[in-house]
Amino acid sequence: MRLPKGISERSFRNALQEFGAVVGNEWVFSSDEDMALYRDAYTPFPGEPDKQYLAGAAVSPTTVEQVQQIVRIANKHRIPLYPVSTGRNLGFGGSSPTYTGSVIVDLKRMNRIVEINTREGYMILEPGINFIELHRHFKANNIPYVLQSPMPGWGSPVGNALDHGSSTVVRDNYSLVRGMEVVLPDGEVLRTGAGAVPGSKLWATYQYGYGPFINGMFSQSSLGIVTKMCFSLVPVWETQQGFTLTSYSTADMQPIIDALLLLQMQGVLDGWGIESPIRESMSTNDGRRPYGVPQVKELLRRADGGSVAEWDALGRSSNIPVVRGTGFARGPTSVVDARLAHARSVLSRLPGVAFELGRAAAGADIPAPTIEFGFLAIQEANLGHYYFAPVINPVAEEIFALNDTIRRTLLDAGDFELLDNFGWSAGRGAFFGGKVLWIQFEFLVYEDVAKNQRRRELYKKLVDVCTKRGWLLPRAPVAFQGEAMGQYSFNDDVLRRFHETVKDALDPNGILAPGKSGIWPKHLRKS
Amino acid sequence: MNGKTTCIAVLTAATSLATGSAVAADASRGKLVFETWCKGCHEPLPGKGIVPPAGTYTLRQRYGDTLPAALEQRADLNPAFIRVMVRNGLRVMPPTRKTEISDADLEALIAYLVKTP
Repeated sequence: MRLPKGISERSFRNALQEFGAVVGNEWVFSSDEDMALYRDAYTPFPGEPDKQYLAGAAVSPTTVEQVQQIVRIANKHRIPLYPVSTGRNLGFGGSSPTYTGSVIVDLKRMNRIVEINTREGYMILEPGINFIELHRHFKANNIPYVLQSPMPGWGSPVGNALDHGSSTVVRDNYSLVRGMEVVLPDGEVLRTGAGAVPGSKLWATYQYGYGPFINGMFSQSSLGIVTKMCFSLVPVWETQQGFTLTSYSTADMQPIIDALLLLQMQGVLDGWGIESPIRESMSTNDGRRPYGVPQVKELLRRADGGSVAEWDALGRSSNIPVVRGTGFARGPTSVVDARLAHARSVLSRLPGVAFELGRAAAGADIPAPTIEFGFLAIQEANLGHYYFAPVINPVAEEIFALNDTIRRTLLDAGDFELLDNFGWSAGRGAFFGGKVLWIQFEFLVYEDVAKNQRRRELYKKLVDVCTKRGWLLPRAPVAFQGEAMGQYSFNDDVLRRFHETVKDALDPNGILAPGKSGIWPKHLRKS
Repeated sequence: MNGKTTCIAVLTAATSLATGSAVAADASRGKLVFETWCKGCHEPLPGKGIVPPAGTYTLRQRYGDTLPAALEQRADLNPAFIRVMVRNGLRVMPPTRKTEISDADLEALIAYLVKTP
């Protein structure tokens, strides 16, 4: 039996017995066979079990009352808990805890759709339902709203929002969250916003309520177990249509960004993105397929990374754009047509930039979320992956600086393979209101333990160099949560100290998700 | 009507189906389990996405022409193998917990896959 440090086997077994009395013994797991299912499937530490974050047991409730009782039992015996919604945050830790020996509170069976209101456009969900199941319900009941599902679709709308996830529908899923219901570390049930006013009908539509707005306290945090979440819904659009802008001059990148960002801010576009296809052409990052310009690798491996003139010449000779901008609009067809006509008139004024309208797609044809990560199949043999995913502001100079910094760090480490893999990236579209570029650098995990160790050290090095430039990580795998929180060091780490103060007040026994996001309870905190 | 719907979630427990025997009911349920959890990676090539289904693609690389790569086309799957693979996963295929596919649903999935010619 894998015990949390400092907890006796007797206390642990007593707690498990009491959990069993609450949820039924068949929904308490502690055998080696059952606990193998709660590992991080894509652990950065294969072959190094002493470094892995391994749970001691798991318990699966179905009601809020059961969650409350579990939390009270945990307090009584000082057992660390770690809640997961669907436990499928692969690449960021999956269903493994942040502290070895924790009892996973597996919320997958708490999977009710509490309410869907098609008139006011909201839904209230429990954490265990996944996007695929929810989509099936939407289709079966002709609910005319869209789901903001990332791929694969086995994640939880609740869990994804709480980890500040995103999708191609809304590139900031948390922005759709309204009220929440939370079981606090002492077992009390809290409802945020209008949900705290008995009889209010605004819980799912007006998030602020009165007084300090506390929704964010429960995202990426260890301050409560979210048992219900209210979401605003996005109506299915009649049509979506996009366009591309292409240029063979690096100097066009900033004017293109400026034009697209302004159109997004004006509400003309619903999304935009920026790329340098020639620089990215040989990348195999995140399942990309290289398209055959070997000189790209040579330039990226050079100390200077290639001059602008060389890249522009290579793009022209390869007939691969040096800059590509994308944008799209959604809604009623006549409105989309008008918005894109305006976009075309503005963007066509950019000298040397070609505008091409894409094919319109009906909202009814939006593919269902599925478990599809076919890109994993076409990568080299691996045991999974984790993400280094910094965000930057949408300025060409920053994009080039970040890429150059990553490139030089990999070169200094002599890791040409990883450099070839990453290539170059400006992310896959602008997120969070169109003002943030999110670069997602996938680190593969191998059977080679030494290679995995080197890569993990390189990850930490990248965090370091990015921190010096103010490039932050909005999400991080469990294995690097300390490094991620370490970036936020303004005023002598006042943010982390603030989090610790709140943590100590709300969870004095430190039983809920110790270490989550690099915030530790008092008794586990290093001095 | 006020535009509200309130309901319970799908796949919470094995449902009893109106058609025929327990075996047929299990296989029908198993098909639903397959479509929910397996199909995205294990449908036949080329698949419906922009990249091939990961599981089928990988098995095609492994088996070549000696065995069908799509699981539903296999005639040689045995229950023990399916149980181990579903529960424990392999390489980039993650494990599947009992709270995701219950033991009963796993048996239904087996009834579906082992039946398929």
